[in-house]
Amino acid sequence: MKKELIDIVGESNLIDDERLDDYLVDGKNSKFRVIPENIGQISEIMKLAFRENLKVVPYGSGTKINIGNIPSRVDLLLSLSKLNKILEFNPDDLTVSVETGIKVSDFNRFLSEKGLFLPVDPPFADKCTIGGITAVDSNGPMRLKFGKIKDMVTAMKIILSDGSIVKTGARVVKNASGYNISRLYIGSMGTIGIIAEISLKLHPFPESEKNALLFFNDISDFINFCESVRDSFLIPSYLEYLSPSFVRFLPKGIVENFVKNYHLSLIGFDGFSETVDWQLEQIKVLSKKNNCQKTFIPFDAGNSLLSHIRNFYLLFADSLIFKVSVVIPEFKNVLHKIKSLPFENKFQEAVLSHFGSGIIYVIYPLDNINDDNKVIELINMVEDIAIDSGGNFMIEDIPLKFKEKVSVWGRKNKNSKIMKRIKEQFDPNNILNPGRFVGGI
Amino acid sequence: MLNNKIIKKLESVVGREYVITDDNELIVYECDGFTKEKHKPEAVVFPADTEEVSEAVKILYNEKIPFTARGAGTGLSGGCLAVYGGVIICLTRMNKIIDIDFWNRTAVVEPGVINLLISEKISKNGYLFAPDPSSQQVSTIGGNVAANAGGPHTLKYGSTINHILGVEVVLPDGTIEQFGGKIEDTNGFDITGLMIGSEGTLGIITKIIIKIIHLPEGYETFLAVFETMDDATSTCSEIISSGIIPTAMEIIDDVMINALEKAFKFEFPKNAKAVVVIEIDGIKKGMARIGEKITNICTANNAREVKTAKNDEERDLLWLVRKNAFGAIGRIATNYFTNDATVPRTKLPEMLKFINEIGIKYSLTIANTFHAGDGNLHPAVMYDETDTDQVERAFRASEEIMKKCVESGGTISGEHGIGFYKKGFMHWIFSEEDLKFMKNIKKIFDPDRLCNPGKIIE
Repeated sequence: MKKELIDIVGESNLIDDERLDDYLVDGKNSKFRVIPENIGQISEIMKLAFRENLKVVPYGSGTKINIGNIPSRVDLLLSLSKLNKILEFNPDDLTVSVETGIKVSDFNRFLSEKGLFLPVDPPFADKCTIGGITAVDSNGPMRLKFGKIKDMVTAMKIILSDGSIVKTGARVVKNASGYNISRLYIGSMGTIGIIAEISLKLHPFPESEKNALLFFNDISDFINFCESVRDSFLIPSYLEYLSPSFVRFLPKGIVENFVKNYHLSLIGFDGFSETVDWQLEQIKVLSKKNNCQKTFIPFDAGNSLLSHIRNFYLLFADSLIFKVSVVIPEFKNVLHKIKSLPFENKFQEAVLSHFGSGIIYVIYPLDNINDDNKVIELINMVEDIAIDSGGNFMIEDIPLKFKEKVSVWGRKNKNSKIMKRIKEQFDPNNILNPGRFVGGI
Repeated sequence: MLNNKIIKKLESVVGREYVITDDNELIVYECDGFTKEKHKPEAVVFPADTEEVSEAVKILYNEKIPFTARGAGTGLSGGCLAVYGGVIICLTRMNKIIDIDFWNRTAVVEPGVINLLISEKISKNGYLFAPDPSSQQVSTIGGNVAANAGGPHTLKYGSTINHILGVEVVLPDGTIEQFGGKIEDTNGFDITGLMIGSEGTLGIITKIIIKIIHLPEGYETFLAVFETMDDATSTCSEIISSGIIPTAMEIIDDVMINALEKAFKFEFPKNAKAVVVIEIDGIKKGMARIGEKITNICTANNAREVKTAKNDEERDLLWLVRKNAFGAIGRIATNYFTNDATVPRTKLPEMLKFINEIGIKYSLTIANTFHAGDGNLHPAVMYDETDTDQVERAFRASEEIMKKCVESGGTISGEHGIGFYKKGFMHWIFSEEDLKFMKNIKKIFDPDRLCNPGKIIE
């Protein structure tokens, strides 16, 4: 097998066993690790894997590789790091086509020379790849204004499990020619094909970006504030909520004044400078109206705080991180229920929310927790709260020893029959990322 | 074959008065806005709700009779033709707005709701449903979703697909599934995204969760007048590349101006070769500077004049005129035929030259009014349907334009869909493997090929 892989990618593109530990997938070793240099090689690798029933894990830079359930087997780790070329760039048309192994940071640096950017702000943007954020549908605070990667993708080239190379969409900004199969692949966790090329719509870089930090006594004041933002003409790029317990985890020097248990909100604006400044003026008015205790408008350390929010995972090692999505009126209710969970101070949650988008991250640091059963109990209870409020639940981060005992996608799954049919159609031998996705897919 | 026994069964589901089998009444349902091709269905049923759709579909599924969903029938690619006969399931009775949720900026609607009625209903609360196809006064939201319809304002706001959060679908075997929901992030494959633009071939959409957006604080609408089409298209290209994304940017050429003048007496500037309608919206503060930049770009590209809509009435009138452009063609030709091929925006100048050459080559008049900001063309080729040679030439001309769009890096449909008309051109943009990939999608949902068969890829 090794020889066949070398025949395809060349010896130098095989990662040897000495570096095995750098490429663990949920603690699992891979038999082989290859770095193909082009789509043709990926296709050849997949043909081999299809024939020999090798279980394949597509790999970008590994920043999101722990999302999803533990794969049932990893035979072949397929790194896309050498597929990192810009294929076609039309700055005047605000479109670009790239190979998916390109890093988001390199990509945006390239675009910035022409005054453009891709408005997605996932965690670990300095490392993660376009392919990775597409496969897991990763995003950040800015989704409030700009949407998710699905709103930017116009076309894809995909390698299917049998090695065939297919294209979806078109490299134009508006398209109604055939099925929108790209959408099926966004967030599909590499379970039905390997996304090798992507065409995207871009945005002009804003002239000005500023934000404001607001301090509230309680959640109700914060929500009232958000309501008045909603009823205004303001167009925030993001609207973040940080619970008092979350704020305590921030490095010193970013938010000085949290002696009191304040609930914080970071709200950002971008666009023409006079438009941004006018919106900040409005925020001054609205925050006064809504019992805001303290404000920084604009907030000078805003970019630093925003960066910590985007990469908040770094603040919480060895933690349970739930992503709960709810309709906004349920926000307060869900937080209240979570606060009232009967664990007698055993678990102290920190909460971060991309509020306007209905995303709540509930974080439980797990240091000094020895009672495994209690952790599982907690997971089930948080899931029930999310589902009972009509929301969505998933575990984004969880120590491996607990991960073995749960499904990170929750206990109940919708549409499982049709999802299974999709998987069977595009990966009949179940060789692509087996076991990682919803319902055992 | 549809026999009396099956018709009786269908009648028992939807009620006798909601089944049409009379040959004369069926004529209405033999085509949509693409009038060249006609296929009469054997029956039309009008279900009242999801359960009735499901029951009707189950009957047809068991009898292996093809069925096709239909809304207002304004589609332009023959998407709801009953190619193999069978039954049309017309969803116009399912026209309720079920729920409007301003906090979440969502609404739940039935597929038969007319697009414009949604915005009319929520505008007093300061909200809007952004996708605005020119047919919005009559077309249904279900049809919009099936075709992934666009409209002038998709330049800033995106097509229908960017405004749908979830759908309820009756699958081809009659089972009812909910995909997506009011919240945007749901675990699992994004089947909602796949359903949008699938032209009713994967199931029948019976409920739609849409996003609604806040009305902007202000608008500025400009009308720039040009002596040449080249200057007009270059202006649009330059506005985009300068970093401004207007809400809409539409070009109307001289042939169309002439038709519109006859229909509306709008008093467009005389002897202009093209006018560009440019709209920006958003927060008023800062808009003046964007407006100034736009005006400067127009002037630098030899605009004869740049007018601004002075008030809402002037703006509304301008859009009314634009959206009824195709209707106005009736003033200058007996028939016309349009396609919606799309090119990268930078290719617009050469495409418009090409369209002009095609008009000369086939001795036909072609009017252009199109979404320049999106690179989405709408060449209206005029002909007289009593002259078979002209009809033939008109279709050849349209085809040649589409082919050129593909060669320029574009695609054959930006917002109307493939339907029946364009399926023969799919191999221009997709390989055999790509098409097989699409056929496999169809196979997952509709292995018996009963649900709107003969469309897109088959």
